[in-house]
Amino acid sequence: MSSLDTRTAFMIVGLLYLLPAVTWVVLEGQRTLQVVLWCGGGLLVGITWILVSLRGIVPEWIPISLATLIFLASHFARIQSLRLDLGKPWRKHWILLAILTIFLIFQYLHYGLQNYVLRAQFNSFVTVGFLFYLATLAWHIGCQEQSSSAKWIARVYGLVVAAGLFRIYVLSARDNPDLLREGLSTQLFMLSILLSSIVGHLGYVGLALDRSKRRELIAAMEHARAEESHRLGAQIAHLDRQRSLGEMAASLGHELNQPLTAVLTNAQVAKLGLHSGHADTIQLSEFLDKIVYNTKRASRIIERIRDFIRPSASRSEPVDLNRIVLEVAELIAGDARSQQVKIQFHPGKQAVQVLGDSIQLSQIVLNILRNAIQALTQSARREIQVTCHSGNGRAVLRIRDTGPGFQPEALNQAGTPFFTTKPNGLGMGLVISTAIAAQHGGKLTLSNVEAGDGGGAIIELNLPISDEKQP
Amino acid sequence: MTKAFQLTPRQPAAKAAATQGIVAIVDDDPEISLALSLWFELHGLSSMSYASSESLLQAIRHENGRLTMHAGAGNPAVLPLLGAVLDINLPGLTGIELVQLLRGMAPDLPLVIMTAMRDEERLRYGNPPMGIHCLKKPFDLGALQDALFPLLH
Repeated sequence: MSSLDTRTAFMIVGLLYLLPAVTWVVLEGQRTLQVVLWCGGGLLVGITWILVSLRGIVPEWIPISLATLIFLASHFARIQSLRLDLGKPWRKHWILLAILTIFLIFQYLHYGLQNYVLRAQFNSFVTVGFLFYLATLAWHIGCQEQSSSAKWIARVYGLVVAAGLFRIYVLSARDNPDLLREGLSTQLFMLSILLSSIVGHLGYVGLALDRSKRRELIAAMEHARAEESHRLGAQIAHLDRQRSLGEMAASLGHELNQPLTAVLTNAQVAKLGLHSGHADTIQLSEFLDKIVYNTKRASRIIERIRDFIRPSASRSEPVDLNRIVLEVAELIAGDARSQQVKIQFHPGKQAVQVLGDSIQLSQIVLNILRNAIQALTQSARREIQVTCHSGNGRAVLRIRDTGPGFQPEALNQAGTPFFTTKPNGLGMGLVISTAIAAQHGGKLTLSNVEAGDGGGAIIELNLPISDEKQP
Repeated sequence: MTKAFQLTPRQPAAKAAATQGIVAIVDDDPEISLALSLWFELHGLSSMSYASSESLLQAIRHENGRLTMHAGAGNPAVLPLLGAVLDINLPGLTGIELVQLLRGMAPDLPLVIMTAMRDEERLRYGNPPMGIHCLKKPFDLGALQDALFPLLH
């Protein structure tokens, strides 16, 4: 140990120790199992070298047996780290079995045969073999992820392999090969080990940083995709609203004509009363009140239609489900009346508050109520019961009709795009409603009333409740 | 019967006409029934409002081709039904069905249909018997007057 003395060995060890620690610190926040194994492996290499450098000072089994075991563990840790990166980790029990087998062969060569040349050659071949495999794994990752950092890890381990092979060649000519023996091959080998430690760990940091960049990129792409699908979802919902209102145009026209008729009639009656002198001021003022009331009634319907048809970015605000049902019931009153369907809804005094987009939630209610009205056309009893209550952090809107209920296949397939039981239906209403419910963190459930209770369909909209008070 | 407004008839002729009979208004929108009943009152005619075909059919009596009804709660007088103004889109029996029933009972009863529906939608309910005026809501009361009043006796 003249040119490669203990101090040099310790320095190498120190550096080897330092670099896994540096890697560990730099990769804070993204310490995956791979990073732990890679840095841990590096640490074990350092420990191995300390143990080897202590040869002659400590009992022989420490540098021979323990160091071998630890060295083997370090190889497997780093190989496993790279294999995990490739998504093909080795099984743990196979690793343990391999470590044990190699260790026992080594022990047998040393203590059994006492053939130190063969032991050293076996040791070197195993080490070179593992490092070669490590280099190919790193190269593989480098190609797969187009990472020059991984390729540099491969190159530097390739160098170690070359130096190791040269050393095996030189040592094989000697009688008593010594790991800490002086000579060009040892110095080259040590240098390559040092280089591999430095480049290996820096390269690994580079690889990890490449990955995190890529992860960010992928996350950004996914975010953009989610946003796009959200935007598309809003557009589809908007188209569905327009379609619904289009189909309801006749009954909405009727709904508008009623208050307009009242306005016109009252105005003419007032005029007649004024001219004939039959009406006094109080009566005239009451006619005017009627006109005002009915004009507001008409304008409220127009307001609902406009709200409903306006394309709007989805909003998240406190919404009272009771109010939604009342507004939608107003929109659909004409449809219900023309089909002679009675909609029963007695909202409680307490608001049932959820967080969401009032128009989209109205859309769900409108879709359900329209479906229910259409389901009732053949029924003798035509009623829709709407209840709305909250409890246990959930708001539940329940719409029950007295129609024939869902067919079994409809229960299974309702909500699948383009599945419909209506002769001229599109099969999108429920899909859109389900999607809106999901977007609001809720769900839509379909079921049938027990035949004993008169039959009919039940649709339940279950949403998380909002604690915020309406402004 | 609508009691919300009581216009004071100042012409004796109107008073006399009011005792002759009743015009029925069948519409499920109380705003419209109310306004129409006031208009009839201004013309010296008594009217009664019904929200469905069934409620009108329950109120009338059919005696040898003549339809009569009670003048209202608290009034024991039985008055002839002079005519009816009715909507098509009603809960229960539709206006068209009601018209057919009334025609069956009293072929000469003056009837006027009023509806907010367009013609092609109205056809879903079937055609009214011949010779019945169909007013499109909102309509001019002059048109109702022209359609109904010449038939009233």
